[in-house]
Amino acid sequence: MSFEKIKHLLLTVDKPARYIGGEFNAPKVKNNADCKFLMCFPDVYDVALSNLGIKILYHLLNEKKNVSCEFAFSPWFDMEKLMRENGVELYSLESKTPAKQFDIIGFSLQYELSYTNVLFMLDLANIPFRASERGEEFPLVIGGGPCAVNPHPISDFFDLFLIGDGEEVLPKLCDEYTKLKNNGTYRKSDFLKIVAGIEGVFVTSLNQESVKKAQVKDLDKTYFPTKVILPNLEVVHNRAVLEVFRGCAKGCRFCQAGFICRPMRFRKVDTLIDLASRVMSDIGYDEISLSSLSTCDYPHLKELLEKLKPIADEKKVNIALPSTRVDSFESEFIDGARKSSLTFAVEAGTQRLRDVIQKNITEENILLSCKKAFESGYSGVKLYFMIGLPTETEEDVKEIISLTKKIKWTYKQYATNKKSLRLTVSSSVFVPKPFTPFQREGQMHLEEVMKTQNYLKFELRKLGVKYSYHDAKSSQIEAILCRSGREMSNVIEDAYRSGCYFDAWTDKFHYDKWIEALKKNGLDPNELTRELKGELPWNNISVGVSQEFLENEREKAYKLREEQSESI
Amino acid sequence: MVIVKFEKVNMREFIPHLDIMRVFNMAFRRSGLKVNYSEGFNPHALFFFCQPLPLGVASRAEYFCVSTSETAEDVKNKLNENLPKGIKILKTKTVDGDPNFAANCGRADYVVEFDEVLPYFDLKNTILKKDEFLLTRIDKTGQRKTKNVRNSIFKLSQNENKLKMQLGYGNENLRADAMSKQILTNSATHSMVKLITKIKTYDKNGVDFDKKYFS
Repeated sequence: MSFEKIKHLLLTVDKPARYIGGEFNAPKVKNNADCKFLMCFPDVYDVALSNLGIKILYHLLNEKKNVSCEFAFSPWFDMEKLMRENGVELYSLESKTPAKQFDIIGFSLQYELSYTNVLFMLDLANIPFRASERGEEFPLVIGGGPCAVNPHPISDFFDLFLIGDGEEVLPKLCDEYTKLKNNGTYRKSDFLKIVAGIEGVFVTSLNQESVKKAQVKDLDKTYFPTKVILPNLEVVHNRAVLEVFRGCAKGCRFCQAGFICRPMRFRKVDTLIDLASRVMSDIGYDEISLSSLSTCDYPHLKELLEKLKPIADEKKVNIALPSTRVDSFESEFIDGARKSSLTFAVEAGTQRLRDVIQKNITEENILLSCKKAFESGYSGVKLYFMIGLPTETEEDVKEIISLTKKIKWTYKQYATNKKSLRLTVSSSVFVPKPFTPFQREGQMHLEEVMKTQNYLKFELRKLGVKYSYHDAKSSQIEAILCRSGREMSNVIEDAYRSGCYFDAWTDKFHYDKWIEALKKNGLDPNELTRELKGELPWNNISVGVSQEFLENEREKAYKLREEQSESI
Repeated sequence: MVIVKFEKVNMREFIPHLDIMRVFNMAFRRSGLKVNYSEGFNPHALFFFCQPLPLGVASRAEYFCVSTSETAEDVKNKLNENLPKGIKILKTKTVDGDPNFAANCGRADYVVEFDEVLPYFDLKNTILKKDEFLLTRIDKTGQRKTKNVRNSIFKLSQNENKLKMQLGYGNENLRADAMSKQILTNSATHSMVKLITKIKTYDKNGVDFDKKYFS
């Protein structure tokens, strides 16, 4: 086994525990399984094992008798070097089997900047990048996750994509594979033709005219793992996670997840209580997170918390509510919790712009929530904004400063905590995403973004407020990658070959190399981030919201701008 | 209080000390064994560990004490059902108070395995009969530091391509990985350490922890 070659050299790399496997709750590897599946995440161990999606599918597949599923993640630079120097190919964590020996390799595509890491992992596995170059001797390479809703930019690298929820389609796919393999008639092309008929499957070589996303109908009856694999190391999200519902009730017009995960599907309170109790006893974390796109919109949240709290208290487990929005702030619940910091995703400085993007919170909401929180002892506030939203003006940016001032003033008036206020403002850059009303919007020019960031930096420093912002350059590449078509595969490969990978890591991101790769292929970043006219590359994919609906929503957003400028 | 002897082998030596504490914390939670928590703003389970092992050193003789009213038997059996492969409880015993392993440990035995057959090291004449053994290491700021560690070397022997050593552990700590490297450097040997396993822990007078605390 080639891994043995480097075992005693593991101490030369950072965090060797990432590469050794043997995690608690990892199912036993079935050596004689008919279908060997390698679940890949194109980032490091610590990031990968924070993702709930891959853990659900991993355990789901392993519960099938004839399927064995193992994990593989991107090794960090030091480990890459060690592997290359010793001729060790990408291997599975559990049995240290080379990736090449698996039947199906699946990649979870959570963010566009991880695309080059898919190539990186194929490279380490000695598997050709392009589906057309992979003969029968190579595994099938498939992709899924939110980025798969526009699979075209990376479709040359994949045999097929699963679009939508994976819980029902992925096992079906493995079953088809097993069937053909067991009666000795498996051929890649035949298999691909057959599975192209399954809802949610996009076969890249067939380029179907219309593909509907797969959708789990009854989330309450859908598999959810409770004996979840436990990372060897502290990972990004070090807690048990329970998915309360899928979808989102709000229609924030910039938010892709809000549109592609529709409709809302809930788990019942009793199901959740049962899952939560099992999760707590099977895993042993001291925190359980009630996860969804907006947990406070769960219709039975109060009942759920009332039933869950005593069980969690007895086990000394904290309950965490992520993605809490301002308008649903639960002051009664936070009474018992640790009082540290409050996070508001305000997104835009003025009510006008918040109406345009349909972020339904008002300044009054925010200040009232702050007042309540400060009175009960909170001393930290984080505010998230987005720069470059459609119709944004100088006024909208200035208002970010005045809202910040108002929060400072509120703290002075109502704080019960003797600590001084810790106020943080963060800004990201608006990235137009497929399947949102803003999918066709142009992205703000780099220089303009940086100008705005500098303005905020200057003004907020005067107020003594900490300001952090997302890099404008990587947001531009993200916008290009998420909205382009098949022509982008060449650019992504060129970028990888020139040294781009781990692009999502700020200090590993090479903007100049990306621009070079675009230029080499005759593409201009400014051109690609302009307003999109005409046919959209992802028109053959349907995620359940119609293009008419999205255009309509866009019109509504623009109407708001006009109405309000008339009234001024 | 229950004192626990456990082993950390089978590549679990690559899991850092903090994560090992997390492993036990979670294993206790899973097993339903009740542990006493510290008072205060940030309550944490009361575990008292010995001197942490360096990353990459396996062990068959690790110790900790836990504040619990569960029986020693239960702690051993139920924990073992809830630990990852490679980490195993070997012995447990109920005691009245925390014996403070960290303050009492003084020496440890290590077995060092190498990837190639070793030349014969004249350990007796080059180290044991001398008053000085210099250990050079590069510290965090990148500076070379040399220190006489002879007082932390108690026993050394060679068995083909294995070294057995008894070194200071705790206050006068001497890391087995650093020591092995120095021996290789001094003899200009190119072979590499394959695995270091700690096999015994002693108190300051050289009494085996097993004998002192578990008999």
